[in-house]
Amino acid sequence: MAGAYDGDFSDGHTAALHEVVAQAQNDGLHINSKTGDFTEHWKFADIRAIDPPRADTPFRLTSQTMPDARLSVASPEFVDDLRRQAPQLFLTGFAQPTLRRNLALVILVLCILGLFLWQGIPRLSAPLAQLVPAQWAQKFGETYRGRLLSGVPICKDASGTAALAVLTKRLTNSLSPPLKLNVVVADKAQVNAFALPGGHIVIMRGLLEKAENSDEVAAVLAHEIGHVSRRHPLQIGIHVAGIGMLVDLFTGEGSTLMGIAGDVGGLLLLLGYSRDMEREADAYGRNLMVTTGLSTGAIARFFARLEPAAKNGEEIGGEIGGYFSSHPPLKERIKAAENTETGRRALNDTDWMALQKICR
Amino acid sequence: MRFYPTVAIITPMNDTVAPPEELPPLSLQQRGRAGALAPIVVLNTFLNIITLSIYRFWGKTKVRQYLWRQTYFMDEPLEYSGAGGELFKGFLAAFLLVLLPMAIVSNLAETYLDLESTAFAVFSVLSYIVVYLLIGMAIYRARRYRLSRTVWRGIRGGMSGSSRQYAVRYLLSWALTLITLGWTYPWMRLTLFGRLMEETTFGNRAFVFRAGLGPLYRIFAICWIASFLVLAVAMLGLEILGHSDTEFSLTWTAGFSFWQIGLLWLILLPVFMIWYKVREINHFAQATSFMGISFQMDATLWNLMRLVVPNLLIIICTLGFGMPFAQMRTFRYFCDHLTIQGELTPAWIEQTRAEAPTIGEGLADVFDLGAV
Repeated sequence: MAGAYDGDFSDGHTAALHEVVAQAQNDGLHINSKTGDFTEHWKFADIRAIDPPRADTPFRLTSQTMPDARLSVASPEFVDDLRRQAPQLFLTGFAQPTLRRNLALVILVLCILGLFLWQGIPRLSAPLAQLVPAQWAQKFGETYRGRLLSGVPICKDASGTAALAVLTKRLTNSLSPPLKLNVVVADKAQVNAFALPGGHIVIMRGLLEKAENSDEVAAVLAHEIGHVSRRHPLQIGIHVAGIGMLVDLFTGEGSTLMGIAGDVGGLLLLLGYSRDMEREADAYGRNLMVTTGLSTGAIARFFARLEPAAKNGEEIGGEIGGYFSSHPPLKERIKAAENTETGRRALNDTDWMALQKICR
Repeated sequence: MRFYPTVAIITPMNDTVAPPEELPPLSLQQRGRAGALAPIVVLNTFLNIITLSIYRFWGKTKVRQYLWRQTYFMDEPLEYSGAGGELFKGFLAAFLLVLLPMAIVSNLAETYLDLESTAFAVFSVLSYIVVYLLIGMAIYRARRYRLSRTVWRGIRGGMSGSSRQYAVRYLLSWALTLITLGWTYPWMRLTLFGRLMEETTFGNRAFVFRAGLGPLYRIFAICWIASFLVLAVAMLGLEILGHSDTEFSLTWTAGFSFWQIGLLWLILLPVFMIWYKVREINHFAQATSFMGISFQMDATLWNLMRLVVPNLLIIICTLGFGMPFAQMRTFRYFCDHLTIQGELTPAWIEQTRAEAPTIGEGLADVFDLGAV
């Protein structure tokens, strides 16, 4: 026979406290008002402990049938009685089903997010990039170009610009549907070129200086056009935004997401193109050179010339993941650039000289 | 202290005389111990790190459960009935419905609008307005959630008003304070705090808040002018030093621009406002009542500093992980310095009929307003 213990009871309707006697019997917990006003019968399955039993505080209970009611009993013997009758109230640690469920839920959520980060975002970015209206992408790229090249002048020599237009036109003439491009030369000594969303392509002065003829520049340009036509820069932008979203989801702050447009290098710096994107652009560029009737050997020589410099730690490409990014390895790219000579040049000598002097 | 018998007593059930509820003294006590809180905090920190901070909602709940159950009103512990999952869902909702759209819009604006243009300026002003409205809403909703999960003798707290109305009030009073160079600050504090207090309920009963502005303005004016005078004296001192032939003068001879002085003053002002804050705490406590019981705080500059300075040190030294200790100290400060007078008849407090929110504090989490 279980003992009867003094306790305090509030019924959940008012904050009044009633003195009661509580008794844990086989069919549940019996709560009897000392004044005889009321009795309650709580089944053990319905009872919930407000907090774990403690030596210094009364043990507080409620029932799912009366969720606002509270019974508090100070006697440790009462706790012992309950422990025998309703052991589920005293589960701790991993024995608690809710803790196990929550832990499983958290692990599941982390796995889903991880999978999303690892597979979802890269896979989704290509189809999403196709959905962005061309006009948006164009404006987007312009803003980025302004920020990436802040403080770097764009070369505007008239005959040089005309020569660049001739080169671009020659490469893109055969394309259908036509590709809207905006190619500029930036006054920077780096040997590099990169594409931005919306058909913006930037060639750096250093590349024009290192190139021995117009075919080499044409080949680099053809490669960047490959990135543009496949919308690679936009894919990377979406990829970065997706990562930023996850970071914010975890930290609970909006700082990363809010700053994406303001984060100058973020777009290309963080990721750069994947190996597959580079191979795709390489293949596209080679095809474009062939369709235009230009030699593909030039680019192999350009690569070969750059390789020792790259090995010596000379800065090629530099801070922006542009044309001469580290992957695929230069050697592989030299091999891939099949050597076909057509004997034609991308630009005539006058135009080529003008292009080289575009930054004057 | 109530006497709890530790020996089993078999009481006859036929006791017919209803003993009137013996009421313990009206007091609020925080009996938490740092030693008992520490294991909770250590486990939370560990779990936060391995779950990349996603655990924070559940950890916060564990801390609250401890702080609440160690807070005794009339010798009866409070209870925190919230769940971590509710906070998590609240955060997800705020993230998807508020933060994400805001981030997208602000990125688009930064990309497509010329940063120097009028359109961008208009956009900036509008986004400030939206953010202030959302902060006001977040404050109100977080308070509603916490109160609805605060239980004493089975009865819940709540907020009876509308978070949107509070948000508008919040925005307008801040704007006015900005325009008046801070001179409506005491009024703003009074109107905002008063609104929160008057709409605070426990069970079916509401708190009452009746406060005058006069005493607040006196101390505010003194603090404001004192900070100005100190600034003027400091400027003068530096100016004199600047003309003397010390090494120090070399750095300062350039003199100060209008903006530099303004900035210095903005740093100085809050320091002087501590006197105001002390007065405000006592004033607001005195203005509050509940079912005829009244409150009194005895905050002083000294005891407030003893709360705030160690709290800052705790938070800084533990990189924020020690926040619960600071929160417990704050709880204890208010419990220790509060005197409650009058008579309370708990039987007259009935359960609230208001629906409690099912998810909580998402906006507050997004805007980093998490006080407790």
